[in-house]
Amino acid sequence: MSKKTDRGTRSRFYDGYELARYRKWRGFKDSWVDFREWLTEKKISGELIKADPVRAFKALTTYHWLAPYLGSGSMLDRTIDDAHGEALLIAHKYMQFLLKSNVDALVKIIRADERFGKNEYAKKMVIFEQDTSPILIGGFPNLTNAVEEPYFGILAAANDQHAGHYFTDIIDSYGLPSDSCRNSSIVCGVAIDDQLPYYGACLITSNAPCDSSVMNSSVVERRLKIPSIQGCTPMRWKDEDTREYAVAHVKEVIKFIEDCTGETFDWDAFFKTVRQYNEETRIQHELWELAKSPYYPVPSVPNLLYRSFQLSFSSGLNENCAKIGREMLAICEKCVREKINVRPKTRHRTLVCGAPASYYMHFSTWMYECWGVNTVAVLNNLSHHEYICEDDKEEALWGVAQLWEQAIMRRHLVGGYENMLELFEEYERFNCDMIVYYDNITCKGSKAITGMVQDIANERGIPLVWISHDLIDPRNIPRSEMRRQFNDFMSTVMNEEPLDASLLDFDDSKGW
Amino acid sequence: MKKAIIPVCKLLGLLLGAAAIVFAAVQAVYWLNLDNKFMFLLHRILNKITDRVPRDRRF
Repeated sequence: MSKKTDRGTRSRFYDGYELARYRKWRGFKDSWVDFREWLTEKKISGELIKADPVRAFKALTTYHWLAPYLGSGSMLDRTIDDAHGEALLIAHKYMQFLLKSNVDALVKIIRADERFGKNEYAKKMVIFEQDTSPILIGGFPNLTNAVEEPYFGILAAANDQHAGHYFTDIIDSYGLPSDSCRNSSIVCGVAIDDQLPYYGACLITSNAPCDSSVMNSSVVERRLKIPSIQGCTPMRWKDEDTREYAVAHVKEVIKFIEDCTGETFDWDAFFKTVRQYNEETRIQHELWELAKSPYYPVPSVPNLLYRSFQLSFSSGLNENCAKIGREMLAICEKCVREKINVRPKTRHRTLVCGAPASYYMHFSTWMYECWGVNTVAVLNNLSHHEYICEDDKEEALWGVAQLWEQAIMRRHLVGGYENMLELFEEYERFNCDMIVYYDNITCKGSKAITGMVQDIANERGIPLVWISHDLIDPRNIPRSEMRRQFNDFMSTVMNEEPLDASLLDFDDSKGW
Repeated sequence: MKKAIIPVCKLLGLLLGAAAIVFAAVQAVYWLNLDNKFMFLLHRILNKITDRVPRDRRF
């Protein structure tokens, strides 16, 4: 296998950085579309400052975890680098929805932060931890949900691969285990270093996606000093015996929010949110049907992020989610119906399992550009996909409990080995010919099952590659090492030659 | 009538000229990736500022 050859595609980038010297020429039509959407994205990004410039400046000069979002433009470019034609438009629209959701969430946090002065918003916000769906807030029209933990680690690292170092080192120096899930340890580092924003009427902690979240909850609670409740749902969620407990717990959380805020749960408003959530779910089901086709146009990274946002940040609360979904569905239907192939480099269709490395969110883009491996399905996205009852209160609460039980990174990583092995059914369902399994070295939950997964893949003759990573901290397993693992697999097991040899080995360790 | 047209044309010409300059400037920012390069430098400066903020690590 050749090492670094001529610069090729990488000649556009500064050595050692993922910062491009100039933008990619995509042909007249695609370049015009890219420029036009770039203007929209700049307008959306500007809203972070425009909403309250003074507070935004104070927040940017106070919080280490906020400055990486200055790299969102570059992150967008990286994630849509492999897109052309309809795929480019879809990628932009998806990423604009995510960008707008992020900006709105960060503006809410900055505006409510009492570190920068008392305000009317702080006590109207209910904080949901990690990736717990905020759907219950639909029943409290006078309150707003706040989701902050993903912004400290996962999303910050997606913008800047070095975003997590500062907080990881803090928990190491504080004596907490340094081999715990980075998702949770980063949040602990933020809490210990007093970089949590001060706001919130109450805090709903959780055991999502796993018990590591319970670890960081205890540290966050000590720092925030606002009322909190453990919104923990059963791990063994397929067991019918856990249903009564799960529903009782959701009722407890509703009562807790009522007690803390003085508001009353409005069932009509809640069912309106549930209907919106079901519409989002219906659209997702139709997109999954189209994903079985070789003409499915959605690039991998927007595909992954949109679904994560839909479950963890929207859940029926954001009307734009379904609106964007419908627009994208129309484009996808057109591509499949008219057999428009906007992913022409595809040589393999892969199912991606496990949590991707946040510091290499665009790894799927690289897989496609370098080796022609198209990510058509992401196991994480296939989390809770059932409809919630729209008219019966008990059934609706059971639906909420299921939504929490089967949240992002829960359905296929915890809850019993049967859930994890469903990946082989999904592999068949989406007409894949290989599996990429992200192996988060700090994820103990999935470690126990790796041998079984490999044995079954061997029995069935399914090519499966394990890509080890450290989720948010690239110092142990940098991006180049992740590429090396995949390169070795593709050349020795799949016997393929790279589409672009300049992408095999390069240095992108220094920058974003 | 003719006397009125000339200043209007001049104004239109000025506006079009200004629009062309703005368009060219925006195109330069886009193609040379100046927005991300600026943000990269700003990020580095902000990191140095946030490193100096005193923190209370007591619980």
